[in-house]
Amino acid sequence: MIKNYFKIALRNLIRNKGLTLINLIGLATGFAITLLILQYTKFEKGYESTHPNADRVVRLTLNYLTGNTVTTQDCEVYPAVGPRITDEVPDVETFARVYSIGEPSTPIQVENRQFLMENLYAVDADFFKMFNYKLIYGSEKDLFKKPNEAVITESVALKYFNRTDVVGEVLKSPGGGGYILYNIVGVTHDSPLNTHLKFDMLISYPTMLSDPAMLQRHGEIKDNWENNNTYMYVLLEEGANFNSFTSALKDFNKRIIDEKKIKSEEVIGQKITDVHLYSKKTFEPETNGDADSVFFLLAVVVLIILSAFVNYVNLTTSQALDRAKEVGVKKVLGSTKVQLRIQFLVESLIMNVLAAILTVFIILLVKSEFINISGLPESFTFIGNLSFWLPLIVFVVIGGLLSGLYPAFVLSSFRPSSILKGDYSHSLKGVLLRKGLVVFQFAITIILLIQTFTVNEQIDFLRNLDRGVNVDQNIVIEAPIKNATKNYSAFKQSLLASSNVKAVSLSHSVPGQSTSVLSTTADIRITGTTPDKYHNFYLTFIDNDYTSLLGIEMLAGTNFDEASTADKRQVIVNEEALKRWNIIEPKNAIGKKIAFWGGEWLIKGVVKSYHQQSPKQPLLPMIHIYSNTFRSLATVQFTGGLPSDNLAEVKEKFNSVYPGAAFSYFFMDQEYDKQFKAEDRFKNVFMILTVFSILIACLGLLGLASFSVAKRRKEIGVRKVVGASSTAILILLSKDFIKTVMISVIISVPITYLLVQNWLENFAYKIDLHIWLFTLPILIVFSLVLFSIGVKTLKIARSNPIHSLRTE
Amino acid sequence: MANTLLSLNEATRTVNSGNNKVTLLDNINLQVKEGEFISLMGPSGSGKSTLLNCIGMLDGFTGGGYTFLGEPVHSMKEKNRSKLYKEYIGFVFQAYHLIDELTVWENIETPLLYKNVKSSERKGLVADMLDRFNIVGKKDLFPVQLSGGQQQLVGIARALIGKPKLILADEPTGNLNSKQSTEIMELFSQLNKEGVTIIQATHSERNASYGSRIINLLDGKIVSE
Repeated sequence: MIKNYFKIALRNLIRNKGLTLINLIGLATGFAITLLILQYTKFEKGYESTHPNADRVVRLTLNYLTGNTVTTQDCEVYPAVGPRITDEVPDVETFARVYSIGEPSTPIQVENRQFLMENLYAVDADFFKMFNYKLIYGSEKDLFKKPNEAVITESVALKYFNRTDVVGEVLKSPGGGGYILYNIVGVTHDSPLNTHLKFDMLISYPTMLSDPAMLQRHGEIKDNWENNNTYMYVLLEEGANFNSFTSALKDFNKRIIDEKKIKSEEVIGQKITDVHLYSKKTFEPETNGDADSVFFLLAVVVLIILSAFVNYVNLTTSQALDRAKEVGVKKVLGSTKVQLRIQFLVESLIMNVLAAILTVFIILLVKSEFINISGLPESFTFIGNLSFWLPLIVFVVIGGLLSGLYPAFVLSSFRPSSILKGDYSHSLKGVLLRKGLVVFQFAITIILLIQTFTVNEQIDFLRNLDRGVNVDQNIVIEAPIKNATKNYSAFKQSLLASSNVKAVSLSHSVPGQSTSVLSTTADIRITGTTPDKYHNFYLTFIDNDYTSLLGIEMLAGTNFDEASTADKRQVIVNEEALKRWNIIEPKNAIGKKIAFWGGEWLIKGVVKSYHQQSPKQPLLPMIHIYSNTFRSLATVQFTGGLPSDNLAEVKEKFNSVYPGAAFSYFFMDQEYDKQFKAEDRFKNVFMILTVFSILIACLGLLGLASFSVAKRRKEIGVRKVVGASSTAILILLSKDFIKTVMISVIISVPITYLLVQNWLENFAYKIDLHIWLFTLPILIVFSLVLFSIGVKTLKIARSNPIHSLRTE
Repeated sequence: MANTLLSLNEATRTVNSGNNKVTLLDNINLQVKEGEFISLMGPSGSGKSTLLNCIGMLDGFTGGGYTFLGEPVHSMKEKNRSKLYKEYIGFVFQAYHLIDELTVWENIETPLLYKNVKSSERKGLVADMLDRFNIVGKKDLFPVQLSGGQQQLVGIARALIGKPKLILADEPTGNLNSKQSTEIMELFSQLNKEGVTIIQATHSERNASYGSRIINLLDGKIVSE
C-alpha cells in the first residue's frame, strides 16, 4: 500500500513537470531564505554564548546627564569605579578593568621586524574569570598579577613567530618614553566571532601603573576619577539578581556624587549579553548589531515561509480538477477517505523532502554571497551546523504535513458520483481562503518593496549629502610610533617635494573614523562665564594644513599662528561648538579663550560644521587643538591620479625616513564609507528578502491563475464561441486578480508608511517620503502580477474553444 | 429458485435545484435476483445513471427502502455501506476511468490494495485476470497507450478482480465502435453465465438484448418491464 502511495505520488510529480517545478522552486527558495536568515539571526542573538559566565558579567557604563536627561551614553567609565563597586555593592564578586591601548593600532617589534597590533587591551587578572579564554600554552597560576605580562592569540603568534608555542618570547612596543617590553606568558585561542570584545593581545593591568614608558604614554594613576577611558566589567555572585544589582548601583551613584567624585553623571550596569544587540553607546569596542532589525527579519521570514506553504496548498488544490477523477475512481474502487488523505500527505512530504534537497544546493550556491552581504563572519558554516539541519527537518515534517492537510481534506471529500459525471462545483470551496492568502502575500511583498526603495533612497541621500568636508582622493598614513616627533618635518618635506603631492596634513584623527579616536570633555566653558549646563565636546589635534586640505570652510578668524610664542595653546572650533556656548556670530568668538584640561586656549578660528561622522549622526561640536607633530596620522593629497597610483611613492618616502617601521595606510573615502556598512547590510538583506518574497508571491499567483483558468475553461470556451476576443478573455481573467492585489495595496501602504517613518527616525538627516517611493513599487508589483497571470491566461484565451467544450 | 440480491421498495431520490425540488427517481420498486442480467433503458435524463449510482451506493436514495443481500442499506452508516459495496459490487464506466498514473497491472491491482489482500495473492489474482482477458502483453502499458476497447477490458478486469456478486455498468460501450462493443457485450454475457449479476444502463437496443430482462425508465419512473 505504502509502495503504491509513493508510486502514484512520484508519477504524478513527473507527469506535471511544470507544476512540480514551480512547487519545488517555491518551497526550496522559501526554505533557503528562511534558513539563511535564521542562521543570521541566531548568530546575532548568540553573542557571548561561548562564555559560560556571561549571564553573570555586567558592563559598567557612564551616562552624562543634563538635569535628568541623558545626553550621552559612554561605554567607558573611570577606572576607580571597579574596586569601589566590588567593595561596596552587594553580590559583586570581582571586577576587571579593560583599557584599550592604541587607536587604531600599536606598533610592535619582534626582533627586527615591525608589526601593528590592532586590538590590544590592558586587563585585570579577573578578566579570565569572566571571559572564557583558556591558555593553550602558559600557566594560569598568578596570571597577570605582575606588570609587563602579555597573552597573545594563536593567529598573532603564528603571524609573528610562525609557531604557537611562544611563551617566554618578548615583544617590544616603541613609542614615547622609549620601549615597553611585554613578556609573553600565555597563548590563547582567537576571540570567537560572536563576542563584543575581540582582542589580538592582552597585557596585564599592573603594566598601566608601573611601566615608566606606559605611564608617560597613557598617564594612568591609582584611584583615577579623572579620565573615563576604561571599559569596566563586574562579575556578579552566582545566583545574584541583576535588578537588585542595578538598584544598589543607584545608591552607589548617590554616594560618589556626594563625595564629589563625579557630577552630572551616573554609572549604569548593562548585561554583556545585551551589548551586541541593544547597546548603542559611544566608544563601543566594535559596531554593534540591532535587535529591532533582527526581530524584524525574523518576522519577515516567518511570513515568507508561510507564503511558501500557502503556495503549495494553492497549487495542489488548483490541481484538484486533474486529480478529481483519480480520487473518484479510487473511491469507487473502495478507497477510504483516510487512505486518500494519507496519499496526499505522502505526496506533500515527498515534495517537501525534494524541496529540502534543492534547498541545500541553493544554500551551497549562495552561501558565500550571503555571508558577504549579511556581514556574517567569513568562516561561518551552514552545512556542518546542527542548528541548520534541525529547522530544515522541522520544516519538511511540519510543513509537509500542514500543507498536505488542506489539499488532502479538500480532495478526499469529493463525491465520486459527481466527479465522475464532471461536476466540480465542490472545488469552488476555499477560493475565498486562498484569495485571502494571496492578499496577505502581496501585502508583505509591497511592504518589503517600498521599504527597500526607501532604504536605498535614504542611503543614497546620506552618501551624497554635502558633508562640508572632502574625504576623496586621500591616503592616510599611520604614524610609525605613537607621538613620533622625530623626522616628521623631513617626512612631510620629502612628500611635498614630489610633484604628485599637493598637500600633507598631520592630525590625530580624520573624518570617518569612529568617535573613539576623538577625545571627549564635558566641562568646557568660555573663560569668565559659567555654563548653565554641561555639554559633551569632541576634541582632536590638527596642523595648519588640515582645514584647507579637507576643504573645511573657515567662517571667521584665521588658521593657527605658528610663530606666536605668547599663545602656544590655540584652537579652531566649529559652529556646532559655538551653539553650545550660545554664540551666534562666529566672528564674536575669535579671540575668546576657552578653559579645559586645566589650561586656557585661544580661539583662532571658527569653521563651518562638517560631518566628522556619517550624516546619520548629528553634527559634533568639535574643538581642533593645534599640534604640529606626527602623533597619529598624516593625510596626503595628490595633484592628480588615483591615490592608489601614488601609493608606491608614498611608501618609498615613508620607508626612507622611517626605515624598518611598519607602513600602514588607508584611503580616507573608503574609511568614511565604512560607516554605511550597517545600512548597506540592512539594505542588502532587505533586497534579498524582497526578491524572494516577490518570487514566492508570483508563484502563488501563477498557481491561483491556473486554478481559475482550469475552473473556467468551459465558460471561456462558451464566451469565445459567442464572440469574445482574446483580449476580452484576458481582461475577464485578470480583473479578479487585480482586485485582489488592490486590497493588498490598501492594507500594506499605511503599514509601510508607519514602518518607514519609524526607520527614518534613526537618522539625523533624512529624505522626504516622496509619493513615487510608494507608487513605483506598486506599479512594479502590478506588472509582475499581470505577467504571472498572463503566462496562464494568454494560452487559454488564444486556445480553440472546441477543445474545452468537447466532452467525452 | 435464485436468491434475491437486492430489492428496492418505493425508492426515491430527490435533489434541490435552486428553489425547485427535482425528483430524479420516483418510487422505484425493483427486485434483482442473483444471476440476472438487467438492461436499464430510457432516454437521456430518465434516471438510468442515477439509479445505477444509488444501487452502487455512490449516491443514496432519499426515500424508500433498499435492501442488499438482506441488509437494509438505507439505514446503514456510510462506513458499513462502503464496506458492503467494496465487497460485492464492481463498477464499469462509459469513460473507463482508469487511473492514468498507473499501468494496466497496477490499475487492476488497485481494488485488492484497498481490500488489504496480501502481495503474493494479489500477484496471482492479477495474473489470472490478465490471462483470462488476453492482455498479459499489455500489463506494463499505461492507459493512454491502449485503444478504447482495450481500456474498457482493463476496466472490466478491474471491476471483476474483487470477485463481486454484482457488476454495474453505465453505458459500458458508449465510447466504443461496434466491433469493440460486440466484444465487450459478449464478455458480459459470458460473465453472466458464470454467475455474475449484471445491471447495465444503455441506449442501444442491440446491447440491451444481451440482457435477460429489460427495464424502461422515463422521468425517474419504471414505465415497463
